[in-house]
Amino acid sequence: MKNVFKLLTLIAVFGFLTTSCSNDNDDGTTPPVVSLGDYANGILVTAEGGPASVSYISNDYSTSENNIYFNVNNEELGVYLQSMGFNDNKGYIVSDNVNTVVVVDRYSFIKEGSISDGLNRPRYIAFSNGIGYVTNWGDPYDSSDDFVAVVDLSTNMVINTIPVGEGPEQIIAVGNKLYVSHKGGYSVNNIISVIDVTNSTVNTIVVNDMPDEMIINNSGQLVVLCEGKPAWTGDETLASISKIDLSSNTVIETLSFADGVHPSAMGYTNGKVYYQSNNEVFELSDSASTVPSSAILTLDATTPYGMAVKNDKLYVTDAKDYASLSDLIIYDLNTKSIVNTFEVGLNASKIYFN
Amino acid sequence: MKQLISTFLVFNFLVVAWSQTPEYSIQQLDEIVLKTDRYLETFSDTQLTSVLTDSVLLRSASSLTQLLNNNASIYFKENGLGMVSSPSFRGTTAQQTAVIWNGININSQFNGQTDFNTINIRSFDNVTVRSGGGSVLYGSGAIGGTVHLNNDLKFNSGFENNLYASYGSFNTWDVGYNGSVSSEKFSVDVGLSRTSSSNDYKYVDSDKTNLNGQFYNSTLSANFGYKINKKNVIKFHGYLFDSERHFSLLSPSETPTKYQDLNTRNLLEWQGFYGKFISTLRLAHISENYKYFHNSEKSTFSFGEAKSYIGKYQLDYQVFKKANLQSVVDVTYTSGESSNIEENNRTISGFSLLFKQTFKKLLYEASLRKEITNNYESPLLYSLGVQYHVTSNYAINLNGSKNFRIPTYNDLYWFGSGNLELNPETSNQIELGNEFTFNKTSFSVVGFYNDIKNMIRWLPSGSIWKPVNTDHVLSYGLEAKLHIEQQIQSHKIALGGTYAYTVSKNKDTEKQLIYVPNHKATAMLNYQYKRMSAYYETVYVGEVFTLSDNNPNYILDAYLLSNAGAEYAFGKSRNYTVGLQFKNIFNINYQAVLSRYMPGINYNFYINLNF
Repeated sequence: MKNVFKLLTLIAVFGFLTTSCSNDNDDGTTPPVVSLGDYANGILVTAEGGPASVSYISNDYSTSENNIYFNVNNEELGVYLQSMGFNDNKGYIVSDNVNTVVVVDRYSFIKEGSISDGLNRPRYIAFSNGIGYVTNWGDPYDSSDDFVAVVDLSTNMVINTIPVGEGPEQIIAVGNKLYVSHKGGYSVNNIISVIDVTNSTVNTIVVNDMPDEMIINNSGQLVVLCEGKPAWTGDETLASISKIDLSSNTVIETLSFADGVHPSAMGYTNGKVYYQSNNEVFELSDSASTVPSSAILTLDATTPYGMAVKNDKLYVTDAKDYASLSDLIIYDLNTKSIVNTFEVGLNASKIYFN
Repeated sequence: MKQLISTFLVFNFLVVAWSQTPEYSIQQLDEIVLKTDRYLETFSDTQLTSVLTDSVLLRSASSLTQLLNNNASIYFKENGLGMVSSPSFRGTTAQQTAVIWNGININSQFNGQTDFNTINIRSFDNVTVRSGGGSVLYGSGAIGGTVHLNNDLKFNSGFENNLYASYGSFNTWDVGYNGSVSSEKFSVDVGLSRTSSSNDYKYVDSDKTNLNGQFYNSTLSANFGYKINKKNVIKFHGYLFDSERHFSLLSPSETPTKYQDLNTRNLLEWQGFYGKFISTLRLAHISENYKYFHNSEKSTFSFGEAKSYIGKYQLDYQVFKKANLQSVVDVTYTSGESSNIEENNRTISGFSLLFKQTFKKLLYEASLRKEITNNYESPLLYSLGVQYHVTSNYAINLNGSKNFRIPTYNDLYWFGSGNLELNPETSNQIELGNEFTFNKTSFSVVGFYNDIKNMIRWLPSGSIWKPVNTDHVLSYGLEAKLHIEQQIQSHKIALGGTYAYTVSKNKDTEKQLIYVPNHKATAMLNYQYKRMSAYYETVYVGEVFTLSDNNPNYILDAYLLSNAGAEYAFGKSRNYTVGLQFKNIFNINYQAVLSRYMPGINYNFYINLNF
């Protein structure tokens, strides 16, 4: 009996462990200087829970608040809070177990609605031409029912579904194309789906096993972190950072990691990729042809869980024993020292800049 | 040294220990009742035992969780009414309470614990709670204590029938039939029971409803005894449990899931009495099967299946008139597989020696057990207990023991995560108690100190979680129990209660374990006038932490629950009873697990016919 929960927890935690914060999903809208709401000009940290929650920390670190969604709306977010997306003034909170995306004003966090019909294990959301696209695992034990839900953002209704391969995870919109990393859900996959939003056609690009984190670098390439199959699967494969040319949609460079190295979180700032592996953070310049052999810093965290970089700061969440509140630890990338630490939610996994 | 001092301090502060001899329900002088789990009488004198029988079982809902939540100091972490329920006994983990069916440990091979909502109490003659260590007698998991589900065999009691039916809120049905026929030589007893519920209660102070919580369970039990001659008796106990539970949703948009259990237990015993020797041979087969449907509308599921064959031979020898030596040899072979575990077998052999001697005012019992398996290194288990009757009303008990919880199939064999290097969790414990018994009053209080090492915990290791022997937990506290009966003419009043104070700390962090309350109390007042009776029972559960850092913003509040009921007995010998119950009469909004709301006020009506 309990082992079912153990199983679910393990699977969930494993999934979350190996996923991580997405890149800054800011779509380019720069908030004006006037006060937009209590939660503008700061950092949002989402926590899977349960209870799931969102924390806010102002950019100057002078104020911080946990459970902001609950505090504003007097309502819990269902477990597990997987990720958030942002479009114009709206924030979209994706909770996978409850098959729901809650829509809030991103600055006041007042709930504006929810997308609750037509989703099945939603993971991440992206936006293109005013339309929302949500990756869905479907039944995680069924490899053939995975899809991307197409959402009319004015009605919050799913208006179409685009079938894709097993275990779609993160999603990035570039022009009329959507790039979806297929880590594989409960299974393992090794593809990037390329969806043309004008006609919903899907093409795939094969990469190394378990692609998850994606960023667009300053050269306009899609950089994908493929974690590789871990040893316990009995079929360990190499992790890699793969670069994809977006005009030809082909892999133009693959930087492989050594045997047994399976990095799990990646971010991009100042023309450099930062990734985390085994409690250490590494820095990779766009021009490098091999992955670095030494870390730029060793994290002072029990269980590094989520990671983000912006400007010269590195943000890491420490999930500790997964049964205590997490910490958000902020490092200065220049001095490699801790700037500040904040207590955030339970199993905090994603960091966004609002 | 520090540990010694704290042990000493705890000792000074302890006032009691205790043991209560079960009261048997022998109506006729010539009726003979044979017990299958004899250790409960022969080797439990220096520990607290509490036997729940007839009227208590009758008034309880059919789940073992509800019976014990209302009548024992065990704390339950229940995931909503009827859902997964795990115990914490004396501040220990769910795997550190062993459930014993007719003397056989039935905790799951997969996760090492029993879900107390997968036991229907209607099939048993009594449920006994035995506090403290018992690994020498009952094996793995007997650390916090053991819960015993017993079927007795009655001889010379003729043809007896019992029919029970209850209907109540949330469309809850609870029906059972028990029939027995016996002569001087043989005894047959068959029981059937079924509980089902829509379990769609409204949450208190909310417009939400418990969704997808419906469940049913059915039990078939059969017990046979045959006295071949004056020296030989054959017994058989059979049991089948079948259930399906939908797991209630936290949010209406969740994908509904369900869980099915199918458990069978069979025990054959041959006992021979030859002068100073008693020879007992037991053969048992138990199986557990579960299916978890991650989407209840689909036919796909994950599963687990384990079978155990147990052979046990025990020879009792009466050394002196009041001294008894027992030697036991046993072998358990288990084969199990699940969606996450390839088929694995394990064999555990055990050797035990037990000795007990009784003097006029003093008795002592000493026992040793060693298990051998190639799975892990098994420690030498022991228990030593002394009881001294200071006066005829007052006894002091002292008991110390070493107990263990062995690694489970999940711990050892989980695909990719299982750790074959694991050792058992071990517990060294000591308890001291006083027991006072007067004419119609009994009171006992026992202080305990339990040092549990090598606790198995699943921790992240690279991209996966692996179980490791890591935590060191100290649990200590006291358990108290009171029972008073008074009768003035036709008015009978009975008052009973339990209280437990429990500290259970992770030794490294000094934090209280999550979901272990410092305080739990139960109380019951019963008033009977001729054929009428009315009762009031209440349970207090102190606040619990839900996060391991004991964050005060994430606690579940304490709650005080009250139930009340009334009964009327009719028939010539008051053998028919009708009753009405009100549960949670003050409509308290409470949770036993975070966000898992329990029902408000609810009702049920029952009849119980003995014929």
